[in-house]
Amino acid sequence: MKRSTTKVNNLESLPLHEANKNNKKKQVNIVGPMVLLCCFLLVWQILTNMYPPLVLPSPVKTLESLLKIVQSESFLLIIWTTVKSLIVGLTGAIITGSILGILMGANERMKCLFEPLVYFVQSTPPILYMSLAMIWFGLDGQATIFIVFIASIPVMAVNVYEGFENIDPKLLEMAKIFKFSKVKMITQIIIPSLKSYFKSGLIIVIGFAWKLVIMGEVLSSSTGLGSQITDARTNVQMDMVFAWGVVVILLCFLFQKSMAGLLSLKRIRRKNYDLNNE
Amino acid sequence: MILTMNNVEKSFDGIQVLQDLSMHVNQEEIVCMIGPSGCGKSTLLNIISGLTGPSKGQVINNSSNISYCFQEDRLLPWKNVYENIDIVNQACDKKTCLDLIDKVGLKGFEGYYPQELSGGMRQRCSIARAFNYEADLLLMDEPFKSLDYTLRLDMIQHLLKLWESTKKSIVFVTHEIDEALLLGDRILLLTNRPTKVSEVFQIKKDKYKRRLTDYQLVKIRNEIVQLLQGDRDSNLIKKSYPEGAC
Ligand SMILES: Nc1ncnc2c1ncn2[C@@H]1O[C@H](COP(=O)(O)OP(=O)(O)OP(=O)(O)O)[C@@H](O)[C@H]1O
Ligand SMILES: [Mg+2]
Repeated sequence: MKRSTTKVNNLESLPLHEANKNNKKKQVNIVGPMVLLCCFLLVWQILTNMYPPLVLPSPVKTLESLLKIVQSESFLLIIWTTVKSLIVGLTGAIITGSILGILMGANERMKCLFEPLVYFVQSTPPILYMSLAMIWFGLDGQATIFIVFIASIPVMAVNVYEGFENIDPKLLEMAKIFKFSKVKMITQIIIPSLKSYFKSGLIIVIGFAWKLVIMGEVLSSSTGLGSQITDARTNVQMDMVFAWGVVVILLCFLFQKSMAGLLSLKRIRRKNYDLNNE
Repeated sequence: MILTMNNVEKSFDGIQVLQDLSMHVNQEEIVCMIGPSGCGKSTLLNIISGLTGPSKGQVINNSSNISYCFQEDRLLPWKNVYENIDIVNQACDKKTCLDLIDKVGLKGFEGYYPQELSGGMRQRCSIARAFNYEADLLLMDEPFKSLDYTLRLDMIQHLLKLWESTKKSIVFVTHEIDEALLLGDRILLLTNRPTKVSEVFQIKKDKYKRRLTDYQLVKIRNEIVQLLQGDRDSNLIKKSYPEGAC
């Protein structure tokens, strides 16, 4: 699960101007994905003719259920419940992870202290945290928030730390020669160097956390999107499972895309340095 | 004397780069250095600037501030031309900064970011930055590489003007003999690794009045060429007749 998110995001962490170029291309190239989608639906339809609807609902049935879900009153509330857990857990993880990453990058002793811890947390499968959290926090939303929080921290920490590792030592030498103050060093060199790593960490962690929050809810919660999937499954309503699945996938996609879009916003306005124009 | 180096040695894990190198820079003097690629010129400037220390020997630095135009441009990618130049000097007013930009021929590109500039333009930006920093010793590591011939001559004139107005001492590393002839009070020739100063040429003539066709300059030029050529030939001989056959 994690590997696939990383892969997607390698594309998104391209330099800004190249990412923009890709966006432009994508708008033109909408035909390809459309054809692919049609093929997918066609195959799906053919398969539904071969299996009973209890196993595989048809695309049309799924769409009907989807419409029903979207029109239901509680739809937005359900989404909000999930998003709330996501935001709470993720915000905590981003802050904690960034602080850890900065500490590790800035100080050798801190690195020795925290590095094993970060890798330990990273190597632990999220489902293990889930099992613990269900015992510790019970079956309301808290367990979900906990796993989002704990499993996302190392992703963020490692990314920020990597940013530190990649600060150009030649620029630091330059700063030393021109006697930059500590503050100038941090604001003009270190923070800008970390920015792109922080951004790509953010995009990766959002996709990762979104999947975790759903998993958490499926296993432990009676509210939110995940619980709806659980309910549909226990009632053997495959069309509902599919429909909620579509909702989850679309929302995850939207989240990641909008975050990536938000981060790559860049004013290309050129400053004017004409003395007379002032 | 603003800088004195006595018997300086520098080695990087096993490779001896500088050996027994002594040199000095007088107040308000331009010292040009010519030497083979990889002989340790940048290393020498790094030692002078204090970025690295010598392995052995003594460096006496009487300057209060050193400015350094690095071999690579080392511009901040997230700052535009103006900001990159402005950043090294808090006291710099807008006009001085724009003047400098004009002098290095980057007028109109103030708002451009380094990745939007050509290699030579980045180089010029880095030169302007080095000029903008208040210092009494200026180190320049092949500053005019990747500039065209006329621009080079322009830059030499600007450098001379700057030198005239601020009376900085300058250490100027180059591969171009002509640049050294036009700028240097002294020209130091460096040997291959392990590197020391092999030859010193003094040029007394007023820098503004120098022409490359001047008798004195042509003579020194010939001597330098002969020395470099001789180095090459003796290397060739060593290669074709190894083990002291000659
Ligand atoms: N940080 C380093 N670690 C190990 N070896 C180094 C280091 N810096 C330089 N050297 C070695 O020192 C020697 C001199 O390098 P230097 O960059 O000073 O050469 P240079 O005279 O400036 O050459 P060029 O004219 O090509 O710029 C080279 O052989 C290089 O391999
Ligand atoms: Mg060099």
